[in-house]
Amino acid sequence: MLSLLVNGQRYGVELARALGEVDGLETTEGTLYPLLSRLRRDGLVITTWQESPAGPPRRYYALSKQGHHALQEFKEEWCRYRDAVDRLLGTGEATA
Amino acid sequence: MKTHDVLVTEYLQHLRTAAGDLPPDVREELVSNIAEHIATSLAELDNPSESDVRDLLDRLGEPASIAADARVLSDNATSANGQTSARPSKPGFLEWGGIVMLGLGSYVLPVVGTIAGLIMIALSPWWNRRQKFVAATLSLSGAIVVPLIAAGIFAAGPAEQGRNQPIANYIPVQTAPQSTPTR
Repeated sequence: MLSLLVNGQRYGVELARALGEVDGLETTEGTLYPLLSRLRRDGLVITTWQESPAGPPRRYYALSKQGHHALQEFKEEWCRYRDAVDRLLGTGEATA
Repeated sequence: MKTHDVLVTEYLQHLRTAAGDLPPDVREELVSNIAEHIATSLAELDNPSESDVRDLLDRLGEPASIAADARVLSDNATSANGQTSARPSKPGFLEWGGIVMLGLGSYVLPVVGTIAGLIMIALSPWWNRRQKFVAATLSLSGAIVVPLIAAGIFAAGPAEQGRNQPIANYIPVQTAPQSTPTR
């Protein structure tokens, strides 16, 4: 979720669409919002209201400084984990 | 347009009911987020039909499952079956205290320290039941294994030399005149 915001702010419907396009992530759109609320309460994302060209104002979500930091940490953690599994299974690019 | 409104209002009403046990601010934020999602999505469609609205609500998912997610992700997460899933994000007093008591405390305050450490670890939500069991087994096995080894050493100990001799050799006052050459 945080990584979807790394290139700038997005609004909820946009995020739902982007999540739907990620292969292998089977979610219903509604479950996105409890997660966004939780991230906001934890200070990882910040929200702002902005007028939209058509329709009602939209709530935009953006990464806070803390959110960027958390994402970076997660990426490093994930790479370590992935490399370890790759080494075990011999599926890594380097080992091929 | 009328049917759209009815469908949406009903959906939001179901959501509000399903989220009835959540803290009011969490519930209101959830309902307003979903309402906003619906309004924004419909505004992006050109003259949405009734089936567009139904599709939209289908994609959002069952109100009950959205509320269930919000329940899990809400801060004081106490789920409907009374199970708390609140694990602190950082180890605190119980965790560090338990480790210190089990490690250092076992030496400083032999039996009391170990038991205090085990109680603190047992009370902490940080570890699962299996980890706690392993901690208890390992530290209590020490209480059995160490005396056994000691008993083994003592049993095998006084064989060749006189009973007090080995110890006496290590007492400098007594051994000094015997062992140092006089010249």
